[in-house]
Amino acid sequence: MQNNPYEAPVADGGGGALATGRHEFSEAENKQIGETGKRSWLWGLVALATGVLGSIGLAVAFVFRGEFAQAGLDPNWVTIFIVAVLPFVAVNLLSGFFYMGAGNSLKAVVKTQGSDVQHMIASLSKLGSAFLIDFLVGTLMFVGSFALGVALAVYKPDFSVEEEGSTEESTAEEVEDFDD
Amino acid sequence: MTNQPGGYPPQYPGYPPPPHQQGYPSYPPPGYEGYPPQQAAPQWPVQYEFSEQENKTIERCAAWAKALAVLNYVMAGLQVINLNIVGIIINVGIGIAFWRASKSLADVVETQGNDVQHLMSSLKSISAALMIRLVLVAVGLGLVLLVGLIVAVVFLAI
Repeated sequence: MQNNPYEAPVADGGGGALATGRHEFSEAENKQIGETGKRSWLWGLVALATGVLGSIGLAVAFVFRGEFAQAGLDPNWVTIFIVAVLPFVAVNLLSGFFYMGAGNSLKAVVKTQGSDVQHMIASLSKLGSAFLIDFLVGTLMFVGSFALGVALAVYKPDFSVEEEGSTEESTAEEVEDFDD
Repeated sequence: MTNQPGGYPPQYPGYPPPPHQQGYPSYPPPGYEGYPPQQAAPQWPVQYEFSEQENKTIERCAAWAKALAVLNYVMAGLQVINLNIVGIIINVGIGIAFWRASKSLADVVETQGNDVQHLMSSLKSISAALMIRLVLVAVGLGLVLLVGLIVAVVFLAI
């Protein structure tokens, strides 16, 4: 049986033949892709800048830990600061790297011709990694803060600072002075 | 046995002669130039369909976008306890954007014929989520600068 040359092309719902391999996005589509790329790159820059600032803070804390101790700061606080900030610095640097990479790939979709699909898939891959990092960090922060809240509610630690000499003795001295 | 003119089968004994030998007009009629020339099938816009390997990458991105959306919804739900209206609006906004992005990306994988439209829709939603975040950062930076400026002015004045 011969094919009918006048037969409408078969397509599922879209009204067109399906193609794989190469594809060139239209101008309107490029506009949307470019905008998303710009925002992704900018968000990556924010994350990267936060990571770099955190790194500087860590470096200062590490290099001047002796000076901080001499100035009266408990060395444990410096250690706590470094341990607490280090993961967030690493995560911000990594997240920024992926978001900026996704932004660059999306920009490449707009600027180049012939490899649009490859660039698009590369950008989606990087965005997927960035989303994964965001999710893990968000979950850790959420679980961490929840656990901290529960711990504070259960153990009710005493944060009041007792000064030296501010006990009953000093109160008695004050009463005597007042009587005189 | 060979066919007769006009493509008719050979004349077998006992059967009537072919129509053109009986006085009927022959077929095709004289002057008929045959079928019209074949025209090319109409050109429809070609829709791109992502390959299986590409769909895997898109599926992964969709899954993590959905996870982020759920996380934002949970955070918004917890902020209801604190009655933090701004926090609720922000988290719900980002959550909806990521949820839509995830749905569109899943549609790219699951459906056929509209992959590019679904992809564009997902990029629009991702762009919206990123925009909310960027605006928040800008507002936060602005507030920090404002507070810093106020503190500096107050201390300098004293």
